Amino acid sequence: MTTRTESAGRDARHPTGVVGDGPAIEATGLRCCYGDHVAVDGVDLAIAPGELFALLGTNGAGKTTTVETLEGHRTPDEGRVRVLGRDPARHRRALAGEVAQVLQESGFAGDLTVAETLRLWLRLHPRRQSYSDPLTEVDLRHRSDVRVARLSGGERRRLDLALALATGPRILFLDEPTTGMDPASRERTWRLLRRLADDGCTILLTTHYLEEAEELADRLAVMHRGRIAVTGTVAEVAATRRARIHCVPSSGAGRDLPPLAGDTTWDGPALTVRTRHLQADLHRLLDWADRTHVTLNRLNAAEASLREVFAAVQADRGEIEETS
Amino acid sequence: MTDTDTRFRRTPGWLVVAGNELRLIMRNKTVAVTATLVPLAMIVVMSLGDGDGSPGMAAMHLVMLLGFSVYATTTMALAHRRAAMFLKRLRASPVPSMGIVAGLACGPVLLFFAQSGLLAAGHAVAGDMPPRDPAVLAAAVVTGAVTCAALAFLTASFTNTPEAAQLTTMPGFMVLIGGMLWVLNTPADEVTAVQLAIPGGAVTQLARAGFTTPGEIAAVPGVWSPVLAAVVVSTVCCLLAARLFRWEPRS
Repeated sequence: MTTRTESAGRDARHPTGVVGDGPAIEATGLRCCYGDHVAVDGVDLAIAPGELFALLGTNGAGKTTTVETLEGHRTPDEGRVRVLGRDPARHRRALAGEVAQVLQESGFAGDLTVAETLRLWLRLHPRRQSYSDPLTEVDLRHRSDVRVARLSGGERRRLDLALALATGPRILFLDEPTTGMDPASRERTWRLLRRLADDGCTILLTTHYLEEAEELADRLAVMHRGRIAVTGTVAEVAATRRARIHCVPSSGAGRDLPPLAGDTTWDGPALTVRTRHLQADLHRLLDWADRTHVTLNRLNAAEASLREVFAAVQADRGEIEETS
Repeated sequence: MTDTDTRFRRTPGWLVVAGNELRLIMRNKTVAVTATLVPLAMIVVMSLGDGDGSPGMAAMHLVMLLGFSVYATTTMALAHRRAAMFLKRLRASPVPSMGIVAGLACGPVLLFFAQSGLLAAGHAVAGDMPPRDPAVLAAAVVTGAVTCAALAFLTASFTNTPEAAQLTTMPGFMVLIGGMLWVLNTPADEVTAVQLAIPGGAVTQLARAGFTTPGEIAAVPGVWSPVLAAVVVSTVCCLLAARLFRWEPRS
């Protein structure tokens, strides 16, 4: 399993999404509309070669439209997209195979078996058959002779991934790849994606699972209402919200707290401090408690999590903009 | 054979799609029966009624087969593959867009060729008049298949679901049968360009020409006219469909 330290190393490698010869995937001022509805409204993205980038967002945030435009299935109404330096809609055939896609909906012929589906895909990509045994990679070898219509949702996602691997892509688009998978399959998929990224494959992943983004992504962006609300490494994104100290001081404690850098709020006996100086404020609070013989019950101090950032974006709170 | 077997490495993409489509048609019992037995059964019933083995009857049989086996089946196949997002997946492959459509149409067209062969054998067994010029009859079969496949491509552009194909193919069926009847009710040497331009008209004229004697063919305004008309109609259908066709379900 990749540790957070390793992730931090990857973060450092791609601080801006632009390395060497420029981004592998790029969108500039991307705007996509369905009639009067603006699904994507001025998205800018730059993903470096070998980077694993996660696109998060609420339902209807515009993630899938963004990814489908980058895949070449849609043409942008405004703005510019480039994949490996080419317009993906105009150069669909040239990019096929170099760019692999795991679509949100699988798009299989249910009457074909798993093995027949893979064989069909390989025959459609005669110049890009580089992966030795993709079915084994995704633990579907034992289901080779089963018709696709009989596969579970998770197995279909794994077959999707096997087809994507089969052509040895340089770019991999994954639209909610682990939806419907059991925990073991999800873990296996994460290991596989991590290995692909380590081998230099550029991956753009959309997901509803925040822990997936935290676990895998070099960088991420949270989309809301067609725009990117916040982007950066996991640490950078989490830092857009203040850390929190929560405790319930023992009875008898006054409310004459020491001067703190953060904002304090009381909810009955419970104290919450929101701060950008977690260590300093925590030290002052503990020191104050020692001096005044107050016990800080249920003490909890933590940096903001991706979940909190996501919730704030979803609720359209101002704190993201406050610091970004 | 392993998954990564490369024996077919050089097979063109459209041919891979075609082979796959044929496999899917034969594997789905409902589709297989609809595409093969139903039209043949209808032809047998029609022949039992007032079948006289005339060139007109052969043309009618041919148009019936084209309507069911090529036009309706291809329209349904395109709508079904789109609804299942299979077209979208194929679009992620290096196969050109027209190659995908051609491949998907090829399955029904190959079935139609097989049925046409069966039909010809049936006529021969029944002791009907053999065609005077099999090459012209073959031209009728090929141009009819191309026209109906192109018409199916166009019809699938505004067919949202496979079920809707039962409704959206009705106008096309009426045009095919109308074009056929109009030509059959017109003396061969008086058929106009407008009649030939209606799907069903050109194939009927060609089928009729295939059964006439060389001397009679001279009275028909050339075998190439209906072929040219079919090519023009097919091209127009394809150009229109290329503008209107959607590769994934309407969102």
